[in-house]
Amino acid sequence: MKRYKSLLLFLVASTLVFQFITPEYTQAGTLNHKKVLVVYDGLSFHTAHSDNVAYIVRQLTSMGRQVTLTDLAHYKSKTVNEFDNIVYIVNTENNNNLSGKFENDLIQYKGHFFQIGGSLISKYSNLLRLRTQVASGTTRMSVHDQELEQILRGSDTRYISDGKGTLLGRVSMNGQKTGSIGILNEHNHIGYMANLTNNLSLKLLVADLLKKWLSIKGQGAAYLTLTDITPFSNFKVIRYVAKELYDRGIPFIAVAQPVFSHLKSDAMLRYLNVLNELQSRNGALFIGSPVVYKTDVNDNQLLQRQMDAFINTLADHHIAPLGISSQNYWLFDRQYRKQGLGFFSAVINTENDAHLYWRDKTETALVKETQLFSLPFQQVVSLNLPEWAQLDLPMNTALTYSITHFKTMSSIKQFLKEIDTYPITINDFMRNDLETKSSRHHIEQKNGEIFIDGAPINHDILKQIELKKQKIQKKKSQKQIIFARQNRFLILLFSSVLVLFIVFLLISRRYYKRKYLKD
Amino acid sequence: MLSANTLLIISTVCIWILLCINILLIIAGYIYYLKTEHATVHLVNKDYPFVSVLVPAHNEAVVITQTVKSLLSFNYPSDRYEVIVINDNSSDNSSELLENLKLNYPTRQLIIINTNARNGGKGKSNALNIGLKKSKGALIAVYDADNTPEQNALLYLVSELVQDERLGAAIGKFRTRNRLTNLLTRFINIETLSHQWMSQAGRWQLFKLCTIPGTNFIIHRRILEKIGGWDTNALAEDTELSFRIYMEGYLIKFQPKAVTWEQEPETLLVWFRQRTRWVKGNIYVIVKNTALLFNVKTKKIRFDIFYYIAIYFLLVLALVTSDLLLVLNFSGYVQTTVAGISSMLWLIAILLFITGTFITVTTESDEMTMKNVAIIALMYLTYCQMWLVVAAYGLIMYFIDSIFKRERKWYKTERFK
Repeated sequence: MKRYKSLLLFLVASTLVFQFITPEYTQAGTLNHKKVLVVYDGLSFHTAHSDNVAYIVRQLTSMGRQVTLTDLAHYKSKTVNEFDNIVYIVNTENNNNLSGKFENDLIQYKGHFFQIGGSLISKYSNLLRLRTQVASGTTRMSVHDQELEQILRGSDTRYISDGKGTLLGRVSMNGQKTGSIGILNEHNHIGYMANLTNNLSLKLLVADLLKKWLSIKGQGAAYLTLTDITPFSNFKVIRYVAKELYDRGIPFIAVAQPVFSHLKSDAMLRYLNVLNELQSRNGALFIGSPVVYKTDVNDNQLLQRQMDAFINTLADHHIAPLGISSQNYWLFDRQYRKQGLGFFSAVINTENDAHLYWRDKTETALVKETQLFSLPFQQVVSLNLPEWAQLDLPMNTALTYSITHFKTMSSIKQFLKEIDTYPITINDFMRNDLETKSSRHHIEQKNGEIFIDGAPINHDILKQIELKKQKIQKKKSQKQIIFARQNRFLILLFSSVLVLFIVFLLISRRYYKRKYLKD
Repeated sequence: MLSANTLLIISTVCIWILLCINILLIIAGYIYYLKTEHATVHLVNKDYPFVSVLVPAHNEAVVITQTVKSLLSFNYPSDRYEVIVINDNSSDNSSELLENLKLNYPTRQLIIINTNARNGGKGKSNALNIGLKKSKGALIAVYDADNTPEQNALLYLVSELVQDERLGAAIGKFRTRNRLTNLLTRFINIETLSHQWMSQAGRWQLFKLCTIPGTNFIIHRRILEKIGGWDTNALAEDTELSFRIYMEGYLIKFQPKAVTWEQEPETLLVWFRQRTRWVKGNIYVIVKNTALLFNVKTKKIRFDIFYYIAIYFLLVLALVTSDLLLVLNFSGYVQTTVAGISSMLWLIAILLFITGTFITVTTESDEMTMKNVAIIALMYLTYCQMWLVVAAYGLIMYFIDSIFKRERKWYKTERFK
């Protein structure tokens, strides 16, 4: 008994002692695994790498990682120690831009490291025993068994000829395999992508690499997402497409733009009817983030009030908005996070526009419970995968398709055909557990069912709204009849008076001539 | 609380009703015009009643000489009328000019009363009361200090008054002497003509009602004395007097052949101040006499009371409300779904306004021109909207003055050479 007691004491004591030992690795290991620091050397506008930083940030936030973004110039010493995972993006060809602070910190750093572009930092290059080559001229790179040709304009393409780890992304020159684009050493948690440009195959490859590097398990789900639905859209087309998808058993997400005024007008009611119908056809409704065109507004709560009013209006009509689709930079802005994204637990992360309207910028992005990466469906189709292949996306992805492209019946049919035949599995978003909260309503999606304030939504509501619409139309037509009659009566009356006035004018003319014009 | 739709419907209905009333008045006024064209006025040619012509003047040096000369040129026996100029607390050289005139017309019955700050300077009503006390005529005529009446004006007025016992007063027509000076005076010229041929003539034709216009009118002295002279609290002493004459059971008739020419404001500021005084004055009269709407004895004048209420309250509020709703609707702050009033209707209503107004000006020489048609069209977009601002402003200022018990100041209209 005494022995066991001593053993127990020893175990407890050593646990306590070990608490106070602070080797860097252990310290790093107790940190939040979801935080990632992204450091970049420059944005390289107007080059093939200009999209790299934005894309990687969007990728990582879609993977549920809390991204902190900084460039080398603003990098603060010892920052790396706060993060388990560092992604270093090199956009310039010459990575002698490496800042002393960052390089020094990396020497001591024990966490996970991933570099994109440039020459891999020597510490990690040595660990991987990496050998790279630079190919000049036209290089063909095959990624995911797809041929893509990278046309070089006076610059060279770096690739990996050998290294210690899993090599991904075959590079071939003149039909001969020469090397790989990416490498991942899972044991040391080091990843390297020799080259990244604005090409979907490369982007999917780096996403795959990052996912493995972050030890994210499971395959990403793809969701068909119809976007740009507004009160001015062609509702007939929307209804038709929704019905076709429903009949084919293809679930989808519908992103509808919010309305902030005239919420009780007939036009709004028609819009709500369409959204309700989309919901009834197994569409998961998302709200598109409103277009920002100025930031110098006096009312700091305006966006929040407007979004709240719109969500309340939707919920009042048994329409459940399950998330929001917004540009990636909103996740980095405190005001947009609070006033726009704050209502939802799900976000579709879209590409940033050229011009960003910051209100309160931070370095660290918000992480939402459910985040989808957005990818235009047409881009995915352009990969031209063979029918036998199956495209597996590394992260949960909203495959977006704007309804503005449905200009003709043939374009609609083409879209439906692509959806039917493309080798990608479209998932049902309804399976996710989600929550939306406004000032008056609590919307939940649980176990495939949607609840508004605790009550499940009734898909037969479509019928009820139809009846309501008919009633309103009847009332409207009665009002219109009264006004039409009033109009006709007044037009008749006034026209008659006008004729009388013309007669008076003719009489006046005679009198006038007689009195004033005769000599 | 009324919805935006309800407010819009009410204001639109009010506007249509008033438009219909004005159409009726234009038609009636034109019928009266045709009647007067064919009617012969039996002019007095013996037993001329003695007339006291009162001319209240305050700092009228610019115009007073011309005015008095015109008054002394009436085609009326010179020994049967006197001209009493009440030079009311003037600080310019009016008194010298008037004394000179007196010297130039030694045989004429020209009386100059100079008041000072102690007994004068309290507005037109007070000046007229002073003149009334000094006068001796059985008939009292009033002319503003900027008027140049035509030679037969007095004769027509006297003739009209004495030949109809029902009449307590008779009013003539006033024209704009400086109507060609600028666009504003052209607008005023058309406005005054349409007012007289529509509102005055039309009301007389339909209801035997007219309102004293403040100048170029004549009244029985006994009636004036009975009703206590002019109300010194009234800024629109003419309208106020008219209502009291009605209360005595008399009529006021419009005699368009008695013509005077007066100077109208040539600048917007002067115009705005003058019209604000008129609006405030008329609202005072309306408020004072609204109870008469329910008085059986005064059913004759109910139309006038209702008409003034309709113009100064209903129409102003209706126009302001509908304009405000239009702006708020476009801005998205309110929603109106009343889409029933057609553009065709609005267009016809505007055409009615233009033709109706043009009809009233064709009664005068040099006025039946295409230029005037264009000016009337322009008036619809500009002058009428300005009137709306004046009316709304006057309404607000009247209530502010009443609430804070401010003294009602008589704004003297500036004269131009």
